[in-house]
Amino acid sequence: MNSVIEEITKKYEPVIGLEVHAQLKTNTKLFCSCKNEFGGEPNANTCPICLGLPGVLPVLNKTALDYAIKASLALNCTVNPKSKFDRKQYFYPDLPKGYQISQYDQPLASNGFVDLPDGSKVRINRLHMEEDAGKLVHAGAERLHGSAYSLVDLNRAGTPLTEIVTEPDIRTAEQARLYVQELRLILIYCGVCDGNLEEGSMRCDVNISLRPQGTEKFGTRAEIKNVNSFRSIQRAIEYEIERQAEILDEGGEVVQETRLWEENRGCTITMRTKEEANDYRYFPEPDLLPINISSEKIQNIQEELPLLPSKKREIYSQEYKLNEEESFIFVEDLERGSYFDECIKLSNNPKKVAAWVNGPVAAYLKEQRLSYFDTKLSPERLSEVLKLIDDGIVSDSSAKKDLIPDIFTSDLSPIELCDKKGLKQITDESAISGEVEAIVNQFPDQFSELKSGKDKMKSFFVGQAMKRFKGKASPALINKILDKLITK
Amino acid sequence: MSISKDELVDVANLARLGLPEDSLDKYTSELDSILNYVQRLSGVDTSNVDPLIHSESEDYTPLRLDEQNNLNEVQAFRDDFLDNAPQTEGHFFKVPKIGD
Ligand SMILES: [Zn+2]
Repeated sequence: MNSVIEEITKKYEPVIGLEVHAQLKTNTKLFCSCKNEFGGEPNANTCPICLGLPGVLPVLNKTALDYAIKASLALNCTVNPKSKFDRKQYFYPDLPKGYQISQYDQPLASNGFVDLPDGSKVRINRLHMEEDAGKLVHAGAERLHGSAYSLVDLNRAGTPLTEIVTEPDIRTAEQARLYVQELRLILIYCGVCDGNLEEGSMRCDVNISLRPQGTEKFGTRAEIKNVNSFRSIQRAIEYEIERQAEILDEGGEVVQETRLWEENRGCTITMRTKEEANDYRYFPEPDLLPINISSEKIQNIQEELPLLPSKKREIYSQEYKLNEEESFIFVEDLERGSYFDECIKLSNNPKKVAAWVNGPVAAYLKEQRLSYFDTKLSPERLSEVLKLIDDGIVSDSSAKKDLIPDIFTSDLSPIELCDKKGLKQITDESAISGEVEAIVNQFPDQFSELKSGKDKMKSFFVGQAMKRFKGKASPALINKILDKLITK
Repeated sequence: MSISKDELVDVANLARLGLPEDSLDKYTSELDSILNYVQRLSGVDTSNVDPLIHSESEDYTPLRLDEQNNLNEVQAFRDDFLDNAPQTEGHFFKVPKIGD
């Protein structure tokens, strides 16, 4: 939190709620069989239904409904057994029918919550389904000032969205960002949204007001649109906190209005005031009957839910004792996380597996631009390597140094690679105990110090022995022999 | 009165209808009489009746499988609708400039 905001929040408490539109990654649109894809040739994915031609009827996409239910359950919402669609009416060239099919007073789901990694909780007011609008390309604007026109691409018109609305529970810009990051992860884990903010798969509107610290009544709020990256969520909120605080400090009143976040200028500007607010004249969509969701269906989808990020974090930290950074990486990076999960099934040392996956494995894959399941180093193979290290056959450091890159590319087994490269350590106690004894005899003073309880001397002898065996004997084995000599 | 002249202007504006100033009285009174007629329904006691949203006999909305339509049909169709649009540029519809 920057110092200006910190100063302001001593006096005023920001009250923030978010509305996030998330695109459902179905094959087809919400009410017609057109392909649901980003990009593509303009208007290639359109049909009489999503173009709003007369005489056509929308039919609800079963998968879109299932995905929206899945998202609702992952957000701990109650899925309403009965809900309905409504028409939200306004005129804009990206909306061919002159109305958007949405859900107004009977949303698909309500009353959920999201637990954030910082320990806070954000309640979800509602989750509903709606169709997206098309896209406008403002052509000619730069070329020919004053005589420009707009181009309309309706590929996105009718693609399925869920709108997820929080309660005004958020108090800081950081918390808002954390919420959107966590929401994104949950939707990705559920497989219902690709979470690609740059491509507009998730779009965020922010409602924000200030109230004097210690008071209950909400101040007048502004709605900020066009906040479409994690960074701009935080920046827009901080800008707005400063703007509203300045007005209140001067004894003024915040105007209830919709404002637009200007990413390039780093500020919000008035889009429309309350008086100009749209009157959407919602009414029940006559072309679609109510949605009925049986409790069996809800239960089936509930059972399909994957392990969600918060639960994963808990397992990583409490069961596997990973540190915050390690568990953060495995939760954020889905591929690395599932690779780790596979490895962990074959090992009883999560810390060591984590160090290998995040260390040499991650580094090599990043350098080679390969993905985790694309190389010869399968989770099984990695577990063989770790077993060789555990058994003292190869040292951890020499495995990290000398088995790479062969371990990713070679057809030889890990033990064959160790053989070939001469990495195998001496594991036979009888083969080296004589030499360790010779070293001990060579340094009688130091050895009597060790005997008298000066444990520091032990590393001296281990060092001497390692030198003698050129690192091929495991320190554990040398320690074991030294212990025997001490008690002799 | 069920509707005022101001409300009529508002509604016309929302519907993007340009009503000439001298027609406002006429339309206000016509709409008013329609609304008054419909208003008679409010006389019925519906306190124990759930709102009827749809008149269809089928109870719930049918669902379709998430399968794409025939690509060849789509291609032919797109050529048709672009030909029928008042203005196009490439594969875009062309409309008057929106916004400022
Ligand atoms: Zn379509």
